[in-house]
Amino acid sequence: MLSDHTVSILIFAGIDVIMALSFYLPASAGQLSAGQGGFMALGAYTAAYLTVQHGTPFPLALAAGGLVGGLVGLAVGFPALRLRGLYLVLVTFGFGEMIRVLFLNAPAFGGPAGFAGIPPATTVWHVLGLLVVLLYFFTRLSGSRMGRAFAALRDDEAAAEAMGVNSTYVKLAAFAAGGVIAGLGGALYAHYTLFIDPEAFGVGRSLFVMLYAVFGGLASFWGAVAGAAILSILPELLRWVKDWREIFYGLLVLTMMLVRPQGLLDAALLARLFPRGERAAARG
Amino acid sequence: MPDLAYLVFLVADGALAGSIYALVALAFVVVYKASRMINFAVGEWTMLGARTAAAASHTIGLGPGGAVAVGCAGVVALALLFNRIVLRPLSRSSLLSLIMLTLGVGIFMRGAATVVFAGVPARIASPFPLDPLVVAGVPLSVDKIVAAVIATACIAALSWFFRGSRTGLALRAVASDQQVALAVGIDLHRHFAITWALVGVLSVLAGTLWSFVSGGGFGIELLGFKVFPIVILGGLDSLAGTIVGAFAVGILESLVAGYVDPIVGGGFSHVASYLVLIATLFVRPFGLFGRPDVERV
Repeated sequence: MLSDHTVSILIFAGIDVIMALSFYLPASAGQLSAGQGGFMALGAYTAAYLTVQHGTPFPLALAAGGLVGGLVGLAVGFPALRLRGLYLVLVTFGFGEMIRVLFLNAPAFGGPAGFAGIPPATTVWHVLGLLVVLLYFFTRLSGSRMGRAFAALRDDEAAAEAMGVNSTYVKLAAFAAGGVIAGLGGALYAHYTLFIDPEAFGVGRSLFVMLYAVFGGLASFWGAVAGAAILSILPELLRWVKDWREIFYGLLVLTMMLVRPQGLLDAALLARLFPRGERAAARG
Repeated sequence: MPDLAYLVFLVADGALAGSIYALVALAFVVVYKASRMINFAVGEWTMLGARTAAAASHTIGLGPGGAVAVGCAGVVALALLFNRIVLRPLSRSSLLSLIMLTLGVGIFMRGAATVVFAGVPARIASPFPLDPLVVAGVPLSVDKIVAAVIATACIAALSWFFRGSRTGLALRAVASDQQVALAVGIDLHRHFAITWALVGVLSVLAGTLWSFVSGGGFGIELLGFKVFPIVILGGLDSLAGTIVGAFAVGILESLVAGYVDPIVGGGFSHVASYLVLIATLFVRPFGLFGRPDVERV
């Protein structure tokens, strides 16, 4: 019932939303990661390697991709304990680059030539299914003990610790969970494109993921969803402007940050959209 | 080549590249010092500088000196415009929205450069002989040496400007404390404009020199990503640290490319500096030369 073209737009937009959520999760605890492309690469390569070399069933490979993303997220979380603000952004940025170069130099994964022959497995329903699960998870998270600890840590680390938030544990959990989501996104991506190479997960990917979430607004996970959906479908709608596409895209981001630096969905707009004072809105 | 000569060659070659990195890194640091803004588009500014100079050389037929002068005039005008129209209303924004802003600017500049400079070659013909100069058995390419000399002269001039001139003193005052600088009668907006004019000049110089050395502007935006390990190593607010960091990263990359890349495969040299960056931040979370109070959340 859907044309192939529509399906491909939906799948790529859905994966972008998943990736934006993977950035949002640690960001909601004040941990800005500019290396989500690295976690995506880990998930994509892990899952693809399993299905191609070992004939692992897709759901299992998907889970493995998420698991590896989460474990590495935990490992990256450790340096994050000492760093804040810009320094954290740059270290995670460096992490993303290292993962890319790692795969570039790994012959078992095809190196610069890429990893081909991945069986087609991802359907639009897989992507939408994962999205529904994630949205449920985020809805539950924002009112939970952990979600409140994230928000407290983001707003004021010292005050959060004084209130009994274990910042080490919470930060590591945030990074690991972000890694799991990005790993799942990568595994889905690999089994739709059927070919992956390290360049697909480079600096550009990491920065765009960040851009999606910030464009939508970091006040709630709905911001990441809206930002990624709009910014990844927009280039499709802008096809007719050809060479001017990047110019429009850049101007749009520029204007957004000038006019609404807090992003599309800010606390005030969320309060209007969810008038009964849902938790996401109340958190601001 | 004997072992020692190879080592000397690698160090010299790295130092030559480091001098150009230093120009790009300085373009980043002067902005950070003045306004605490993280310019993720510093590579795009360098690209713009190179393309403008190249366009001046190809369409008007100017020599390298004239091309750089026209390029500087053009890019400085753009930088001032950017400062006046985009940055001035934004002086009090969060770290993240400023990062996103520079990303947007970077995307815009890349798109605009493709449209504006369509059909204009990015290459700038090097006026220097191609044969390498052999010093004590170590081959060094002439254009790299000339580029390094020019870059070093610019760094020296910039250092003098910050240390010795009255405007430089005012810029350091702004970097140290905006409120106090304002109180002693320093016009902040005028000095932000001067900072961005410096960015324009540095971008054109770095971009043009890089085009000479690399034989074309391909991938010049990526030069911007070299800047982050450099400025973190050097400490974000230290000009001297930045210059040391730039040479250190240049030499490190060259050594790793010469000794390690043949063993583990190409490309490792590009992340070696990030590995050092992460190691440094474990020991000194504010860089080698930076002050501990630079973090901003």
